[in-house]
Amino acid sequence: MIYFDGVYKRYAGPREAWVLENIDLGVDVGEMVFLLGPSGAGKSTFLKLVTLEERPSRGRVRVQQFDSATIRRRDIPSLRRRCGMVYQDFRLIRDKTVEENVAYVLQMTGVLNRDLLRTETRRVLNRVGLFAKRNEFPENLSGGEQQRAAIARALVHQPTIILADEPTGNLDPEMGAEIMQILRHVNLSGATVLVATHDAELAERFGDRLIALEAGKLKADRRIRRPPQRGPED
Amino acid sequence: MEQMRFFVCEAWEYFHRGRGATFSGVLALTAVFFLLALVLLATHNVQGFAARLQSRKALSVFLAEGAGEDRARGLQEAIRRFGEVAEVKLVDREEALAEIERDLGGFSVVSALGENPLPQSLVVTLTSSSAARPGALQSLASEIRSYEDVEDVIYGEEWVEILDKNIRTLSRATMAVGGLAAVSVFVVLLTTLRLVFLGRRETVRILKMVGATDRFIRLPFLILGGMQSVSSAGLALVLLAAARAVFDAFLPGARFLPPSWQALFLLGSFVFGVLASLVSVEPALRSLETQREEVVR
Repeated sequence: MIYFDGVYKRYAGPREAWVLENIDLGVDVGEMVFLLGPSGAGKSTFLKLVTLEERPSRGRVRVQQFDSATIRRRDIPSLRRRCGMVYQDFRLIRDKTVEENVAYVLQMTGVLNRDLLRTETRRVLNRVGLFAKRNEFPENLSGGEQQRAAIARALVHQPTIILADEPTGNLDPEMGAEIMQILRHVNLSGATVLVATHDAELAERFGDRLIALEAGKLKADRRIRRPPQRGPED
Repeated sequence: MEQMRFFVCEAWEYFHRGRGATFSGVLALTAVFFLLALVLLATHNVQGFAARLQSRKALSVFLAEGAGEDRARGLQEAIRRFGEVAEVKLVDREEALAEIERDLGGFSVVSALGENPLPQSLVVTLTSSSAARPGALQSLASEIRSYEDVEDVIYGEEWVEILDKNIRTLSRATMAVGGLAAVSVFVVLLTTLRLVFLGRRETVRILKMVGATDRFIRLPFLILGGMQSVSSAGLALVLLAAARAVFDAFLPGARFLPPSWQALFLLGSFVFGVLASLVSVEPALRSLETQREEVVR
């Protein structure tokens, strides 16, 4: 589903070092993969390469039928819609309510029927336990609630891949575990989940597979448990 | 339809939520649109004034001695066929003589000269479009001169040339001021819309990351540009109407912009706003793209 073929990445600028160096790996459908490593290991860059927010300096990234070497600019939104993104800093639109933030992604994909929008949005808000806060603006929510809203936004259009960049970075451990629990449920319902984190304990607890990065290099790629059998969406 | 409603609602939200930038933008735009409307008003009145003056352009065609009334009527018919000609009036020799004698205080020309010395003549007036075209009168005069039995054609050559020259200068001046005002409108629109876009840069970034197409991001900004522009143009027209009393006091007889001009002004401002928005948003959208990094071979 996701393949990195000899991927190198460095950013333009005075810093010459590789951010990622010779990454060769594949992620299968339905896996819950944790990218582990300290700050600067290249975890976020790895995720940005999947959505082509960044392009590889050398090598190629393939995600489903999309190939970084051949993709046209106008097809990038299509690739990104296959993914649901969750960030450490939530990245919710401040002047829209929780429900509007979530609905926006559906509207973006052409769903404009009000009843359908309401049904789909509320279904996913229920799923992350945020239905009661649907009319709140992000600034009125706690960190955990904002992250759940961000997850709802990432899930509402039923993407096949979920990418989470340090999703528990701004949360206390209890809330972090709760967020991981939600992501695990998403994974169990069939989505491939990639989580970048520096928290090895969370990774061990929730992941099927751990990929360790250090200074841009692949240090370890270890399977902890078999990926779960895919079930119907809960 | 539903999609368009969604984008209009989005644009309205940008308009409504960016209150500070929107308000100052509309104010600045109203000022420049007011200037543009003033130029239009001046143009409209200059055109009216010029048309009135030009309607006085006429040719007097004097026929050769011996050309009788039948020949005069034949020429009248021939000249009437020119596309530039609105009317050809035959001036009766006796009527002309009576007029001269009246002007001379009852002096009898016929008693002094023994006969009526005046030739048959025609007065030719031009259509309004031909009268407005510099040089039309001159070329028509030279064509009529080539007719047999035409002795002379006079039209106040000097007066017509001065009039044409002044009208040309006036038209160029209003066009130059209008052009400047239009450029100012465009620059203010660009700046205002760029500010609105910058205010929503973070939202745009998020939208791009979750897979929004450029069209989805761009459309509300285009509609916003049109909305801001047309509302400012509308305000400028209201201000102009309010200032009408002042114009009437200083320029009695001046005419206000006709409804068709007002409608064109509003429509043009909307198109202008959309175009300015396109020019403003497109580079800003591109700048949010990932910078092209060095590709290592």
